[in-house]
Amino acid sequence: MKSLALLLLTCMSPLLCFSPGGRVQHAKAGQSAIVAYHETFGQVLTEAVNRALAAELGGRMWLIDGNSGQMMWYYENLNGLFNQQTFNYISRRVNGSSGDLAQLTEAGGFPNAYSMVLQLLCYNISSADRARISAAEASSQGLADSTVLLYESAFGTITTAQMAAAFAQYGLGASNKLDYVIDVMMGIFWSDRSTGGAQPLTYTQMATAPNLDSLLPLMPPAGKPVTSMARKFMQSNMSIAGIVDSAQNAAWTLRQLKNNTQYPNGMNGGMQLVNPYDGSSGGYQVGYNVANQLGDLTRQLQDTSRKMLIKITTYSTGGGTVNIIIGRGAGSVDTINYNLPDSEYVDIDDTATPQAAGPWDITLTALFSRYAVVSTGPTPWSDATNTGWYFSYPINEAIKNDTFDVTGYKFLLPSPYNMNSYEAGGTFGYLQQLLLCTDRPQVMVTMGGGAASGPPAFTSFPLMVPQMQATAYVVGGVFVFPQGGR
Amino acid sequence: MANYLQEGGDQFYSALQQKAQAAVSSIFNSPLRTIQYPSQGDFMWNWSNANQVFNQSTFDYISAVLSKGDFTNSAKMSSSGGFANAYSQLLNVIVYSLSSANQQKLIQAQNNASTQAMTIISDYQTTYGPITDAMMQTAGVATKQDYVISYIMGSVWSGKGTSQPLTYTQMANARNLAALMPNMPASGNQVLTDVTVYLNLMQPVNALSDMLQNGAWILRQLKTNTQYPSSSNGGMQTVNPVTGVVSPQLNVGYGINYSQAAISNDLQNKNRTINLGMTTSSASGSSLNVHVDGQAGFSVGSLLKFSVAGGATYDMSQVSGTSTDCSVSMTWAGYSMIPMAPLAWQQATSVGWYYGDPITQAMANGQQDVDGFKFISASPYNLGKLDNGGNFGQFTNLLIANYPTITITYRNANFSSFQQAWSEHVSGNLTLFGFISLGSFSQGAYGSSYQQGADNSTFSVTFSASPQVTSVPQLQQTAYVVAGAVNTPSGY
Repeated sequence: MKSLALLLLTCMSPLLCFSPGGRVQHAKAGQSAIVAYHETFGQVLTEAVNRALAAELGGRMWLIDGNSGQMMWYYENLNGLFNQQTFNYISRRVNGSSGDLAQLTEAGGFPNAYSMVLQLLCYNISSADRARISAAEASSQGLADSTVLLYESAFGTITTAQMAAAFAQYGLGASNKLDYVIDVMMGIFWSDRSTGGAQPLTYTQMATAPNLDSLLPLMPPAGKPVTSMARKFMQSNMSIAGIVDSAQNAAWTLRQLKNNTQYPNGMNGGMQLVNPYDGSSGGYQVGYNVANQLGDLTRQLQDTSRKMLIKITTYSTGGGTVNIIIGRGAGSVDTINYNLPDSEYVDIDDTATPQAAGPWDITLTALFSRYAVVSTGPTPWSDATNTGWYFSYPINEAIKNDTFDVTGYKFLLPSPYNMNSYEAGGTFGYLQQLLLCTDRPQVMVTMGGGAASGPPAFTSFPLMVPQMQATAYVVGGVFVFPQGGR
Repeated sequence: MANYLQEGGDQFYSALQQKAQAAVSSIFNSPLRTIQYPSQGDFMWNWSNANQVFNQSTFDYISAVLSKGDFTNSAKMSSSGGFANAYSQLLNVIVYSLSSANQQKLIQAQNNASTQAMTIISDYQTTYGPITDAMMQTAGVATKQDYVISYIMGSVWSGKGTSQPLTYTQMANARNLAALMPNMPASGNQVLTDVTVYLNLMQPVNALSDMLQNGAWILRQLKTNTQYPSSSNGGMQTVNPVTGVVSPQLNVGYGINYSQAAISNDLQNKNRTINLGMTTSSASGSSLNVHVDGQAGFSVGSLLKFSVAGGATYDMSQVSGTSTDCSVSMTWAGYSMIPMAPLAWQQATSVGWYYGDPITQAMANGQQDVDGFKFISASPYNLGKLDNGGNFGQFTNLLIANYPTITITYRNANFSSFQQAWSEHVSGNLTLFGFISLGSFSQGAYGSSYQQGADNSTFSVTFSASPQVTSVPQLQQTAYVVAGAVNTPSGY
């Protein structure tokens, strides 16, 4: 807000040459001038837009510069194919480090960057967990030896001939004595599966059974110490299963994410795009969603009663006011008024320039008409169906894990993108919501105490633009950055 | 360039830039630059024909590479295709590589994985006995590691047999390896864990290798799509707007994300105007003092020259009956902001050719010993902002308008004398200060009309778009480029 204070100080000069960005017309008291408003009123206007649309926004909305052009908002054709130009807008990456207006990259910037970031991720098993695995393996070996010992104490030494006979008959138990005890004696004989062609109990079935003894109806009484020890052996192995399974699952997850991002198709959530100019469609792209019903969006963007008028006045005597009138269509009009604090917005009391209340007041009037808030985003990856491509968890965890020696996702190499929030200069954001308006936004600054004239009326033209090529101005957006920063 | 020309150019372009910026300030806040009149001529805004083939002349304009202009806040364009040419050269000096430290890390990771492979073999052999050459020969594998993983796990424990064993890739890609081993004996658990750890250790090895491959792949795709555009990689044909001939060769793709209907609507909206005013008075000799839009004056040899098709040129301060005491208003009525971009490369389809991230990352990395995209030799282009000498600019938007209407109001003049000397029936092209072209057209972009003032000493001459220039075929319709937004890898 200091910039505004500086602005006001500079405005005390008779020439009113207040040009923080060097792009302001000279103006006299009471005249209107067009200024680089974002450099002066940007934060106040952003706050006003957020208050006006609070009920519709999923996060803080930031103003977006128009250098990415307008957006073709009619996002799908009658055959359900997604508009290529809509995709080209919503798939841009958000750069949060480029000043007070958000800057977007070229089309496809976010999936391109996401693909690159996925290449940098891996799932790490910490030194401590590796040690646990080694210890568990050593412990398992001891428990395996004890199991065999208990069996042989109760039932006699297992001979090579017995193992060979078991293998000859059942194809199991030939490798070593432990397999003979568990796979043959427990899995076949004690489980009563030696006859009738029943399948032997597998090691996995026994290891995961809630009550092992209940699966072994023919177990002799002397077998109880053996199965107890075998159970401990299985539990020892299971104690590291979580680590092992997590590593496998994480590696699998990363592979699916890479696959679905780099090779989208009809099965994994990819989508075909349609060229809005010639109707052609090509290969598959990564999926993006638009939550708004096309009919609703069309109605909103064509409803001339949907208007958001924001009037911000700062007074040379201190403070300021914000007056917002929101027309939501069908006669629904809301008004929001609030004051700007003295301390932040006006700081001109010390100036030597004579002040008269009024002449140096500055008013910004902004009108956004035929507006709509569009909710969008990359198709989220689903673990259950393995469709979609965007999954923030590995990235967020890798950021959190940093270079620590922990088990979990980590960056193999530093990310080439700034993974901070928008405010902290992050460069890895995607678009979650967009504020569109059909009519050209009207933003006017009036100064010198003159009454702020309303924005000029919009000159309406016959709609000759083909439906799929209809564009709307993009005023602002809600972004999603890693670590939940928005 | 003579000082007066420099000063005149500075003042005119500076004033026009401010007006242009103001005209779009509610929708566009990046800096606009005025564009020095290019060899491409005026901008043909009907950017595609009825068959959606891109207009060659539009392409010629938007595909130029931009550098700082000769005047304040201006930019100058290269010839057609300059940006893609420069980009292609730039790609040739970018590589993707790992830092020395991470190359060592890769080697270390490979060593760790090798050590773990030894553990697999050791644990297997202590549980199941030595793996002999004969066993490996029977299994059809060459190493003990392959015997355990490919044969024992892939064929035996998986229950798949030797005819259709689980492949190493299938096991490495498995979400749960144990679930694929229904025939694994109880004692196999340790080996299974060993293999899982091995696969985990191989993750960074594979990931680093993948990264190198992916980085190199991206660069290859960008080069291919830029240097060999085809219909499958986003290349496009262009149509000659005069002959209608569609080029057999494909060029790199460009897109304009604004329909021609919308541009047409904008240009017809004459309520939106950009205005610039000038006043002149006599200076020493035959020079004129000119004040552009209230700025400090400067001296110039001529204000406005009107060149007709036959070759004659009229200096509008020296035509019979005119005077050096006049005011000039220039009004561009109806303008349109047109966004444009090279076809962006998309990783999922490898369609498109322009991808800024490798350049941005190479700029940050330079030739340092770091990971990622970097320059193997100095960039052949200055990638800084235009004001810092950058010469790798691309258009992101053009602010075009109908040809300006220029009205010169003379005082202390002689209307009857002018009336006798001047013909309203010829068309021509206008040049400001003797060197700033206000549009060019073979049959003359401007026609003129005049009107007497309150008495014979005052009158006005108005130049506006000639009927010839407004009646050309649709694809050849041109507009005046007021300004453009020029992006560089360092920003606007």
